[in-house]
Amino acid sequence: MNEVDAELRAKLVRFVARVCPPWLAAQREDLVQMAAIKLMRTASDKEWTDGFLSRVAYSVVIDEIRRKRRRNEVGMSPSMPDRIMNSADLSPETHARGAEVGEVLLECVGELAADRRRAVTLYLQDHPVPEIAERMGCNRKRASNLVYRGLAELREKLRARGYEP
Amino acid sequence: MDEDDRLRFLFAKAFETGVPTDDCPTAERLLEAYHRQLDQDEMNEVVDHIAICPVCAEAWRLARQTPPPSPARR
Repeated sequence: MNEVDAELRAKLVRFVARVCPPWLAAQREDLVQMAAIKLMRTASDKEWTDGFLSRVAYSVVIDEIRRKRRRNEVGMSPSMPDRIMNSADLSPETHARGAEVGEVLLECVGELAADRRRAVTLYLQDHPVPEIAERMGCNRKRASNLVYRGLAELREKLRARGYEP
Repeated sequence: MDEDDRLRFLFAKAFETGVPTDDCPTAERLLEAYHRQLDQDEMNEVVDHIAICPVCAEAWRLARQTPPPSPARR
């Protein structure tokens, strides 16, 4: 491997590490290799900006996650802020039944009217209201309203299914 | 942790049993949506998808770690 390749590889290692979830860490080397192959096959070296390398790394990691989910492999946990994942407020039962209740939650989100559904989805993805407004192309008041009413409706739907949100 | 964080936790946990579909946007498309590189209709389409697809919702969360694409690449 020549100097340029080593530099490129170092960047790919860094970009893969940024988006690779901890449970996939053991495969980082393979993912870097896959990213390098994808790079060689899909672009000329003139396009290999850091932004482009970062996107290739992201795409390789996401494709691998999808492959594993299709195979229904176990041991995959979602990424989420430490304040949530490490919260002492979550009981062992909530952790244990989280995926099951999460499926029901998604079903309920899917039943919301389009604008409420989008606002609530972005909110549950931890975007603040001003950013939700920008992403939805509306003002903050409307975004806040959609989130507030959407969450209220979501909780009602969960209760109706026997889950206390 | 507030009650909304509890919902965020459950929303994310659905990933553990989720399965991608044939309708999932490409990773590149998700990234463009995350970095607001799509028009409103296209953005809505992606957000509508992550509302119901926990695997793409996870991909969206991981997109936080990526820099926005440079304008020259569009």
